[in-house]
Amino acid sequence: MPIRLLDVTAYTTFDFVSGRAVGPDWSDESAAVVDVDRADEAPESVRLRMEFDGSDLEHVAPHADHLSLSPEQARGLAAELERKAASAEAGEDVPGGRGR
Amino acid sequence: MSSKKETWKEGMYGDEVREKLLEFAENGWESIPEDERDMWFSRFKFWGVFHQRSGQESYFMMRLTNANGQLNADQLRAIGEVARDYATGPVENPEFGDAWIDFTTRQSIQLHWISLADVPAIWEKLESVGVTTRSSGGDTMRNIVGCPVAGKDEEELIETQSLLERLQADLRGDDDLANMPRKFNISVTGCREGCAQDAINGIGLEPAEKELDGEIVTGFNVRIGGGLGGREPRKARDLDVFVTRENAYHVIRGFVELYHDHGRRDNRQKNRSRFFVDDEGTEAIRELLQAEYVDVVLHRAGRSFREEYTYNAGRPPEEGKVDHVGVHDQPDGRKYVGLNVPVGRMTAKEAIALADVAKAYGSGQIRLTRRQNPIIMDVEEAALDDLLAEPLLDTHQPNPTPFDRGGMACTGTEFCDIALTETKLRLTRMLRWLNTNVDLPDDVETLKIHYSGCTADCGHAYTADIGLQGMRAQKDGEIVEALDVGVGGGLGPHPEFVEWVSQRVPADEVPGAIESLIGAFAAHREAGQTFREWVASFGTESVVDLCEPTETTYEDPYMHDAKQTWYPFAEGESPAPTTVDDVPITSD
Repeated sequence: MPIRLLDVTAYTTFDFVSGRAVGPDWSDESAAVVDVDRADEAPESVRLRMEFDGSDLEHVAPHADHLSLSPEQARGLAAELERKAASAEAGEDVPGGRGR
Repeated sequence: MSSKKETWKEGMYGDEVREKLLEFAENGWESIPEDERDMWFSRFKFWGVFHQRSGQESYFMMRLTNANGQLNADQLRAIGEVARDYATGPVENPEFGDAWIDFTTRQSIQLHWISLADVPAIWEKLESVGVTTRSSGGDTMRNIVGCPVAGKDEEELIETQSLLERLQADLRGDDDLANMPRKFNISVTGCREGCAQDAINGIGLEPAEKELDGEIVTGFNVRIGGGLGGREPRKARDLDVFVTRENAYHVIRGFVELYHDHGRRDNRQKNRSRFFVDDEGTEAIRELLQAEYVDVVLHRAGRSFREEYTYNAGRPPEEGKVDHVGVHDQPDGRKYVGLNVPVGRMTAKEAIALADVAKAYGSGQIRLTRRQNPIIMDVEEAALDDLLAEPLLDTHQPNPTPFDRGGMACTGTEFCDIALTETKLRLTRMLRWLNTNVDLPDDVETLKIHYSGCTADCGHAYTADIGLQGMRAQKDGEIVEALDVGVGGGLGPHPEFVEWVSQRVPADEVPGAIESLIGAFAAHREAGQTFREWVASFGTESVVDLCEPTETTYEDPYMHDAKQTWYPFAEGESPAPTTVDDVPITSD
């Protein structure tokens, strides 16, 4: 079994998030670690990392995904998450089609 | 770019922090400006004073230090009395009550629930018997570890006591080297059992011999860049250097200075000494060491004795000592008696009793091991039976169960800010359940279960037969404390780290998982195989299939996320911050 790649401590943003890795004709359900921090080697950006549990993955090799966000992108993501969270809590309809 | 911590250290570090700490202690908790707490707490660590986790404001952990885990009875008595009088919190631990000491994996002792105002009195008492807390934490040289029975060991190849004392006084004591890029671990051993665990130190000296000028000379080989933690453990690498005892101090000092000068201070995610060795390579470091840091000629490595290592090596008992527990011979005809303290925690009362017993039946010397255990030294054979009949040895036995003998745990969420789960109490309960419910093959004397509350791995999960690291899982719709489970780690001649066989096992299903692993071991092992040998020959992937987490009669009352509470075993609001008498400090 592969090791968990991300360091997980009480400072990790989320040590448990449910999710799925999805391919064209497959889907692996898994718990995941999600962490937001800043990398010393790129201090001007925000790092968003995510890793599914290796033991739950059948269709994809265990790995962690790293996204490098500019501060502007990080704020944009945070704002979008806030909006969707409020709408989920308010029980609003999920928009259909491509429009948001 | 300099990190925040680096800036704080540049501003003040090392010995000068002491006066400031005493000033804050004099003026009380509230005299530390709120916006400066992180900075002062970071600096206090150099003096062994660590602020406990959030929710426990104004309480501190204190780490003591020494070289090679050596104490005398007066020192241990003073430590026990300090624990009795000062290491008392606002609530009791359900298993250990109030006032205890924790033995550490670097042959030292930690005390909890210390009020800042008490630090001056504690220092005065400890320092009056020669115990200090200086340089036990932060970015500095930590406790120098070695063979705890150095000088009194039948397996010793080369004597190390004078070298250890010089390193302690002249190297660790050098304030110019107090501010290292990151914490730095040193080990020196002259014994052939590997009990200093050189493979997981920044620099480790191991016994060796080499022909120089036609003569066989004893000395040390040098390894560098080992360490655990962050899911990036490293085994120390061979520097290809042999050094005599006379020159050993210079070589260790040279490497410490080299890392002090060249270790990165711009990137705390990549500046531990093991990553420094990754980046630079042993050959380049060797060349730089020779060219700029040591005057003596560095010889190529000599013949090591690593193949003889038995300490936590996963070898059968007949091949040698796996730890220091039990009654063992000294070369002078006397005995040493290693007690077992599962998870390393002993009450203050017991610590005082241990000091008394060590004086009554031995020379008064007590040594601490890297497995969170104490040893009573210099016991005459005629006194042995009476010592073994002492009530203390009934609690902390020299002949423990295989599970109790193998248990080690870090501090966990009880006090630690970065841990994900509770550890010491949980492992105590698990060991009790395993003792009652699970049988090991008769020839297995110990099974090492090491439990760390997070990936920092202060509990050495990576070097266990069965390693546990704190995690979280969802169970019955609730987020619960959970553990990643690994198998097959150990040190010895060929160190190996655990490989993980199950992730996010809810804590109440871990004993069931361990039971399934032991059942598989018993069923599939070849005669005489140890657990580690079995994992190596059976293959981890096969073990994965046989690890079956399940609920059993083991009960875990602390499954909830302890980080949501101020103390895992208390109901209600935190009283912190408090006065020295544990009374909440009000805004008035």
